[in-house]
Amino acid sequence: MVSSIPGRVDHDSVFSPLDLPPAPLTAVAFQAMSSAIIGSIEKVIDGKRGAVELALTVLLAEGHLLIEDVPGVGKTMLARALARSVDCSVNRIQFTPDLLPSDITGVSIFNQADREFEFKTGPIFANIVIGDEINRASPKTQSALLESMEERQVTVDGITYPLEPPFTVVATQNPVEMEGTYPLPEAQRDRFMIRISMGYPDAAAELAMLRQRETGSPLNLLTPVVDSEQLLAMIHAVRQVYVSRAVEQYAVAIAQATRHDRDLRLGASPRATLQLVRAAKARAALDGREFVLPDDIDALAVPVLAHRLIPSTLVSGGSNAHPTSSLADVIYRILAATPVPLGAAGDS
Amino acid sequence: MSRGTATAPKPSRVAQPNPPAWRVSLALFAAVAAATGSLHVLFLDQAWWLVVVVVTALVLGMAAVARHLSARRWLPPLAGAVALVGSLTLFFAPGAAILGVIPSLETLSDFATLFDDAGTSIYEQSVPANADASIVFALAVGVGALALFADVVANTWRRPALAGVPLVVILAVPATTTRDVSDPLTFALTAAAYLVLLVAGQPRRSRGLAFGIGASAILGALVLPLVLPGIGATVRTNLPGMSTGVNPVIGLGDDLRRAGQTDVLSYTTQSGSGHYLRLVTLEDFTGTEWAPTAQEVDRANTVDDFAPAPGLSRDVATVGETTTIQVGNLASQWLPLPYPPTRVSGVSDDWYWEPNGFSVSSPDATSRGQDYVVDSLLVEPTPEQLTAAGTTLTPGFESYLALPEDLPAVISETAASVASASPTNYGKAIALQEFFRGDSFTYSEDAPVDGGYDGTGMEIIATFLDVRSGYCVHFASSMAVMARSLGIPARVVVGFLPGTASTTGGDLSYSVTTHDLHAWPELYFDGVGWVQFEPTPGRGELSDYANVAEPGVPAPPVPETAAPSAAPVPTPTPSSSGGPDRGLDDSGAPVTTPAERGIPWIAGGLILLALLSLVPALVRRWQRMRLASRLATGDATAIDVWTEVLSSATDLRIAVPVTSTPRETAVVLGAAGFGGQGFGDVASGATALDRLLVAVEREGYSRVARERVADPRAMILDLRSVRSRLAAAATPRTRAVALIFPASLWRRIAHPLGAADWVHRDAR
Repeated sequence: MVSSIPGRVDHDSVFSPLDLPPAPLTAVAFQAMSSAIIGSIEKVIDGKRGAVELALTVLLAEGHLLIEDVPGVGKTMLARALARSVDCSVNRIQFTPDLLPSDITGVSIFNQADREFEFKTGPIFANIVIGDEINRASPKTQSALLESMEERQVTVDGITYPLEPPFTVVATQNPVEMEGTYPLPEAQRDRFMIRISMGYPDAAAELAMLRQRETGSPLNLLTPVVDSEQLLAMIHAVRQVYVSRAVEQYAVAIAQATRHDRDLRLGASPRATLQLVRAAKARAALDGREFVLPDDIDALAVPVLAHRLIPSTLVSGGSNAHPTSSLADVIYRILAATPVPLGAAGDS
Repeated sequence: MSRGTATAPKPSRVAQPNPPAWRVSLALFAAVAAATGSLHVLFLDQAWWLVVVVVTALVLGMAAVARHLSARRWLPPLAGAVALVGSLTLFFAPGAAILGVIPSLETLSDFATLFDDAGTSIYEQSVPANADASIVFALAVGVGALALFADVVANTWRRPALAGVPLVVILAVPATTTRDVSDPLTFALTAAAYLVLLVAGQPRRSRGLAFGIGASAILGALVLPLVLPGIGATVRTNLPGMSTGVNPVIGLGDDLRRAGQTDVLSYTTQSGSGHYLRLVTLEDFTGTEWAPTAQEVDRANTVDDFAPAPGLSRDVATVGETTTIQVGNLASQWLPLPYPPTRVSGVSDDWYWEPNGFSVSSPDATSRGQDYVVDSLLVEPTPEQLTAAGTTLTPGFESYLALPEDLPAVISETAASVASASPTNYGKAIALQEFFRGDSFTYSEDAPVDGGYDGTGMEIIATFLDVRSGYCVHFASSMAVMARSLGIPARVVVGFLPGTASTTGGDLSYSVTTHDLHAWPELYFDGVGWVQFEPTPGRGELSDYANVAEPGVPAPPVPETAAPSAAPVPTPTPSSSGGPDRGLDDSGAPVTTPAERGIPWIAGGLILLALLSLVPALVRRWQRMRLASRLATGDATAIDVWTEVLSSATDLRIAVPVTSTPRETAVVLGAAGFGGQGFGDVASGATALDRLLVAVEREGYSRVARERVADPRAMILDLRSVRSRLAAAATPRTRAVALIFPASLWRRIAHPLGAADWVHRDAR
């Protein structure tokens, strides 16, 4: 598998391999690998192409993914299928109310033999970390996770331990209305690049799922289709995707519009703009382009922005109103009102 | 720079600053003033212009002040209207008004009277007219109202381009009331002011377009005066004697039918009476037309000495007459002369007379601007002398009896039935003349044209004798042919009626216009010579010899004459009603109805409108041609081609919102013009639309900067293909609207903001 990939990661610079880029991936190779990943995940997740592509987008854009939906629709299945399709280290943390921060980050233990403290790494030290039902943990534990997500490092007893790239957290959570949950604060939701909802499968997909599950867990059928080096090469390729000034302006214009919209109490943060553009680069690469289109921004605006915005009471309406769809409507309205710049590149 | 964009406000269509209204008003004022100036060709003096301009300034100024003081949209037009009424009251009817400017009921009746007077004055006067108070009033009302309308269009509706419509209305007035269209200078001045108006009224981004429209307007200003006849141009089209080989009768009717009349010459006479002025004699009747005899110019026949008039015996009384003629805008190869001339002096260049008809022509000069004195004879034959000529055919004059063998029988039969009762040629001639001047014939310049029998041929004469409606050409040729059939030598003469008498400084002078063009028959009597008759009802004057009723023939009504009763015969005398006017029948009522008079006006207006309606299509075409050439030189990119696609879609009323991405737009266009199939696999370049989309996305959003289009020709072909597909999917009506009223010219199309503009705007 490795030999088929033109680029190789320099293992001497484990700290930050991306500083010494691998040889560029050809568009064909990139497409082949991304199709392989999507095809692999779709073996176990039927009829959720959009969600699968968004998950891969997050992985390639070096973001973190929040999957939010009611229990039993395949949130964890998606996360595990994604992890399983890439040959890299994967850890899974089941969040519970009694989970402690050190259960995530790891602890320093005094080694009697060496007479010094030794750091036992926690489950966060992996390329893909699956955080199941993240909203069931205490806020203290949540923040330990979220801090390491943002910083991409863990500090224990004054010593900082970097997390090796690629590093992506795929967290699942039940809607906040469910019992026994600690809803994520806005500031922490902001750390996730994209939030997706699985949604219920349609009848055909559900039927197919029933037949599939008769033989046992379909996850066992999955084998990795790319390794971590290849994944790094893909991430590097995504970084090279060009973002024109016009597209940047478009993203900024949308973010600004959310901050002034009367239906929104809290608009998009600058980090949101940044992540919107990054995600758009991954989407462009997945589409086989080496430059971002305004259409990428349009397509990603709701997944990237919706979970960061707080509607004013007018929009959220009564208790029956579904805030996500209302927010999506607001974002669609903003998109429909924002002119799309079209201009020559290179004017800075 | 990126920090600058991060804090930049969202670009928005409403964020475009509107241009200051006062600039638009000022430009509008200049344009209206210039357009009004074009009316100067209609008037003798130009003081009226100042009044009209002051009224316009008050109207636009009040509207501008109201606009400055209040945001209410209805206020400026109201203020302008108040200013219009107030200024009209102040200038034209201050007497009955309250405080001089507030109109009372009496003021309104004054206004009504002024309007009536203006109508009468316009009807009575010829061009150029004397701009009396009523005409100035009508001008002030019209121009003031148009200025008010233009102000509403340009400032309230913010459509400065449409303000050109009232300007065109003003400019069209001279073009449609007279054959002399406005002079190019005022047209160009108006166009320039209109250009300023467009520029002043446009948001900054659209000024290039404004320049485009304005430039085409100026182009139109230069081209239109070439297409239409211009002021100061010599009256030469269709006039008799425009060139040798052309039948002078042809086009005579056109000159008579023309709505406006133009002065061609003026003259004074020693005796004080007016004369028919002859241009050329038509002696050959071929059956299809009357034509002059082709003759070599004999250079011995110089105009300082004419031969004696043919056939004139010493027994007939003659009186010497001296006529001083100033020819204006008449470029004829023949000199207008009374008959018979004996000597012409003062002409420049060489002129020679022709022995049969005494037509005077020059091989290398025209009558234009000639100023000369003619000595001629006033021949005064008595009825007795004419009767004495009997039926004698003078030897040598047989050729004046020549008729085609296949002459329709109705002509000679009619002649015989009318005149056979009289034993003498003179009696027969009088009978023929009375026949035509009687009640059964009507004068009409239009009936022959409408009826398809305009001309002088024998078939036409036969038709004319049946329809009994025509103008001088028909009467003259018919009487001449019928006289020949009765054995009287006859020919047709083309020339001018005596014209309109006027007294200036105590001297009686006559002015002759294009409407005085005329044709009449001359009959030959042994011992007397050539004698003119006047068979055309309501035109010209009857000479004494021709006005003697034969026994049994009722005397025709005699036009009242203002000239001394001792006026010598056979010369006609001017009538008190201002000379022969066009289209008067025996009762003196206009034969042509006002509706008929309006037809040239309407036709001219329609032509002008048709020409103007082509301008937007030409501008769009020019834009596309320019795009192709700029694409070839690398000055334009795929973005410009895409913008043209959007413009074309906008023209076809396909909505392409500014908030659409190119790909979304392609989906819309694909649905509109490609049956939804156009936008498939973009990268495959399956359709022209796909190829253009790939190109514009690459140019607009990828790393390449102002990439020169590799194959501009292929891209233009793709553009054409997309345009034709879109047009083919539209209804014929939409296509027509797109051609004549291309919305992309005045609607902002998508992608008004290039990235550079956006940043630039923010920096300011």
